[in-house]
Amino acid sequence: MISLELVNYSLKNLWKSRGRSFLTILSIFIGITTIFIFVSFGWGLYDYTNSFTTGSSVDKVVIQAKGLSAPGLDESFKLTDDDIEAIQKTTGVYEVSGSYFKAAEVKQKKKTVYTFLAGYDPETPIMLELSNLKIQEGRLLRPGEKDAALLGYNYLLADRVFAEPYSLSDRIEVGGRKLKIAGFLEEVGNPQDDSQIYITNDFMEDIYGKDNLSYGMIVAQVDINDMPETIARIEENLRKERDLDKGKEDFYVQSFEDLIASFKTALNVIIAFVVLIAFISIVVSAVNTANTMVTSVLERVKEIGIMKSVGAKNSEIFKIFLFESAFLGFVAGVFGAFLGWLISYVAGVTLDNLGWGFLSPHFSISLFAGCVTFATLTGAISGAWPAWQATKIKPVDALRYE
Amino acid sequence: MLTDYFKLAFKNVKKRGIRSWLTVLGIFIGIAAVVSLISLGNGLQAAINAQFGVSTTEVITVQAGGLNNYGPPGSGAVNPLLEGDVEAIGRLSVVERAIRRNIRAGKLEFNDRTVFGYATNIPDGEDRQFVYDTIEAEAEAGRLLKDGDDKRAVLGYNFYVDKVGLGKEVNPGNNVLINDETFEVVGIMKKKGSFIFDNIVLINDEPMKDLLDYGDEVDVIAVQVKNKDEIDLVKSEIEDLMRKRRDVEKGEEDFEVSTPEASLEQVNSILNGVKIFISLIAFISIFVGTIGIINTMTTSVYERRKDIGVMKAVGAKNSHIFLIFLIESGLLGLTGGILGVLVGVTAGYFGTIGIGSYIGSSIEPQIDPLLVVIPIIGSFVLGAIAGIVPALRAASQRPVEALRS
Repeated sequence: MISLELVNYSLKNLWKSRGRSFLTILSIFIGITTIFIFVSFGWGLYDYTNSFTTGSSVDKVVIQAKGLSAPGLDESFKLTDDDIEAIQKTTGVYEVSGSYFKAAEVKQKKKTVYTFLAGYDPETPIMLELSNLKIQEGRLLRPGEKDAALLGYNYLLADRVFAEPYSLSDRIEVGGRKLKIAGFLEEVGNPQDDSQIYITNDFMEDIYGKDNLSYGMIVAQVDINDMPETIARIEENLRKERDLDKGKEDFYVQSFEDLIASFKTALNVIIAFVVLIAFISIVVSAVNTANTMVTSVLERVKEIGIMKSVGAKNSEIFKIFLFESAFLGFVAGVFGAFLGWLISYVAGVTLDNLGWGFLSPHFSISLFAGCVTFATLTGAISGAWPAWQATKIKPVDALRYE
Repeated sequence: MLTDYFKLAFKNVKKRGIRSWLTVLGIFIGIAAVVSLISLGNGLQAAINAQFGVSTTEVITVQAGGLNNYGPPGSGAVNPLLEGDVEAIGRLSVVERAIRRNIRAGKLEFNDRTVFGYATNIPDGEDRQFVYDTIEAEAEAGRLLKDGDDKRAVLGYNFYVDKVGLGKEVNPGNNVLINDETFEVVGIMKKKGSFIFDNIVLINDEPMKDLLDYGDEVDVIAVQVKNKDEIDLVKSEIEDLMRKRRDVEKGEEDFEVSTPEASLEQVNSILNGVKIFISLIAFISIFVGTIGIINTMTTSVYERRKDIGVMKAVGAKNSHIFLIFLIESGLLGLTGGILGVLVGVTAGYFGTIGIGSYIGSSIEPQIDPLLVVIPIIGSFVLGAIAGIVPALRAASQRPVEALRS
């Protein structure tokens, strides 16, 4: 290890050329701040997706018709009650429920907003369990209830969906009908889901007519220990019932985890790309640090010569310079992580207020420690070569050096 | 005189060898990153704009209001447009023609495999040629659709080269199953470099309506104006008409009338947002590189305080000293800038070709002259700015003290 004496000597040197030390720290610091921000938001997104794979979504399987649009908007291939029956009969399936989806017009005074109107069966509310939806205020819908709706979280707040917030005693105009508000759902954290409106399937059939509707999504609760086999059996049964050959399915059967997995892959690519770009600035700052250390070695050629001639070992010289650059990185890391935390925190609160609550940064000891370690390593690595050069200085030449 | 400054600066930069290169390297990496990312972004933007595949700008589109961002036009409509709307718009005196457009998803079977994609209708009569002109449709093999072509279809280029997942090329004369009905393929469209049009299925109005059973519903109305200069007037006339027909008041429209520029603008504003965000992050590295220059110049001034003293003692003015260091620092930036632009433009050029072939779009990579000139000038200016404080410090040194140190 490095001795206290050497530490003292290094720190004194850094202080002596404090302008240069400051600029070097500044350059690493900026990169670390950027990386901290993106990693904390990226990590937060992983937390968000993981919350689904651990909650009540794990034992759910989603069946959707193929199409090129969102559920309910593309009715090229329809899922019907016959399909539900076929799924219900499958071994390993506990409960099945279909959901209708339609685009609907919601009005407040003169303002019109388009949103998804989703139907579900209150007797088997597994559609709500699929996305961990719980009640924030009021109650869930009752079986067969008509003229009543369950609203997304954003209707509770002013200036989200509409200028004025709704309360349980209000009515809301959906598709020209004034509906009672049964309750509000908890916040999901994105504007689309939080402005969705839920009614019962029965009411949906009343409004649009059963013949004009098909299920946008069928959710099945299955035996969690037998998931892949159950999915295969559901596919088999649906193929039989819809009279399709293998490979020509016009539907998908996916576990909720599969759905999340494809989302995660996209997330990986985006986060990796952004962090990579932020990483460029770290590379530049490493170059700066190397530059600073090269200068610092050159300035102290004479000193190094003297130290060597009074018995300093090469390893000690190496340690001195390595310590200096690592220390610069360390200081930058501490301040960078702190500023990064500050910015992420403020940004997170701001985004939450704007209705993007799912974009919330993740803070943990390992993130702070990781950033500081990373900065210290960056400093050490960029200082390694100049430090190595310093050990190669010959005392005789050094003393003669001007 | 000025060339002397440059010569002197150049000599000094060269003398410090490795340290100068490290300083330059910092700026170089930053500039290369920003330039390559921006030119990649431009390439991507060109590729996406090409997907619109519409050549004329005299076409206005009308869509029903709804959730319009989740799929093809019309799919998220709450109250769909109807056949009657098309006729009424067609009767407006400022309108040359109004054409119903339907874009629907379907499945196509061939070679015992099934793929899912879009089909769109092609109208009869004079309107046919107009639609062909707007989407610039030409036959690569076989022919385009004619009036009276029942149960016949024209397919996009990707079917012809087996890029849609059927495992076999579809040729004119082949029969395919579209939503379980047999259609004869009479032609293949020329490659458009757009993944929408290269994967599309064209069917005549009537057979498409029978096949997909959408009745009177219209997904989009394409309107050709009589006089291109009146496009805004036509737009507001259509809006008036549609308000009356759908019984809505101004400000409460449940439909959208848009010019092609408007929809392109929307896409471009999103793309620009992404581009700015990415560039901003990459810009941080240029900033860090600039700090490197400040650092190097501060050191350089400190190392040469004796030189400065001597120069002053033999009559150099403060402004001379200032200029020497300013130019030296600008030169560091400039070198990094030139190298960065070289590498960045090359990376952007080949990257764009890569993106183009990946998404099956035929985009010509372009070198934006602004992307060459601005970074080079910018890097010199940035370098010079970074050198201001160190140069001022150099200029304000007193010769006596400098010589004594």
